[in-house]
Amino acid sequence: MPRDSINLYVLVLISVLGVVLVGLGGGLWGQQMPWQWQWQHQAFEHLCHQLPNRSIWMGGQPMAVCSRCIGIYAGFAVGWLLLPFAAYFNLSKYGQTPKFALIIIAINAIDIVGNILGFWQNTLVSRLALGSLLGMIIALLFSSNFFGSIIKSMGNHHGRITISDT
Amino acid sequence: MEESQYQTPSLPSYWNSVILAGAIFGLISGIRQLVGGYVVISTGGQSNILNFGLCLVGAFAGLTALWHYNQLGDFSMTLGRGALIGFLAGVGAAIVSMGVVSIWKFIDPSYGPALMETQISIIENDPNIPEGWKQTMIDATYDPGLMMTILSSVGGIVLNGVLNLLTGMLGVKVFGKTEKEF
Repeated sequence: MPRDSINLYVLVLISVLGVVLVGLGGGLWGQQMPWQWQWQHQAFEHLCHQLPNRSIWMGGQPMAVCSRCIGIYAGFAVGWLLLPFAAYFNLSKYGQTPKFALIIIAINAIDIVGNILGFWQNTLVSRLALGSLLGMIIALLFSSNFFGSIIKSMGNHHGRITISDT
Repeated sequence: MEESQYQTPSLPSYWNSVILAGAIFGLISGIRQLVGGYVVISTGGQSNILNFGLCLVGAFAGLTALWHYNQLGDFSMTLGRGALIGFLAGVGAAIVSMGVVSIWKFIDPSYGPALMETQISIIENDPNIPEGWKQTMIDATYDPGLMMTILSSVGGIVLNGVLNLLTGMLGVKVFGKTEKEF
């Protein structure tokens, strides 16, 4: 894997793990300040509604983001960690990941709209599960970009072992 | 020697795309926050459409910046460049959003105090908040402190940047042109 790709992979991994840690909120660290005024909540203020009744509670406090958002971030982190395995099994070969991603985006959108219109009431677990699926499938879209499988070129580089373009 | 003679074609500047996407999503995010604030002031509650419907809307600045950048010509992009464009668009959006809210407080000076009073009233009447926390929360509403303001502002800008870094990479996957395989 080229050095630039390693750097980007590690940068994204560290960044996403950081986002997940911040998103877990102050309950994880036993912060005593009321949650609305913890820096984690303030930092996510522009990105998530942070309603306590739609967030998972940890250590007697709601997380800094809602259950769907923490699902998306955690799912993305897990998917990102699985990229080497996805590349090993050549997941991109089947070409189905973008279709699955669209389906899961659509299911999330339908779930949100249906809940707003009062057709059904989604739950913490259902939002977390749908968000996790969304995060994971988006991460897996990059399965061919960082751990490109070594291929035998048939074109201009015939005879050489090359690596797929990153 | 042959490889060293290969010249990378120059790519168009990404700043227009970054500024455009940052401004659009900063405005959307800032207006959403202001409208949400007025809903709280007038009803004492939250708006479901604003809350659930527009959750994570700020993370689309990177995707939009990449869409715009892709319109500038026929060239291939790397994921790293997409990540950089997305990150900058996200940082721009966060700064614009904070700017919009700050400017609005000058345009409507009653907004800030009215929101503060409503929030304090909500805290005082919320049976779920422990009594011991209420005074601390009210004090923090009046004066959040310099360190908290800096931490939350910088944290917000960095988080917005990171999330848009991811959507910027996604933008390369969605809008980027695939190079022919040899």
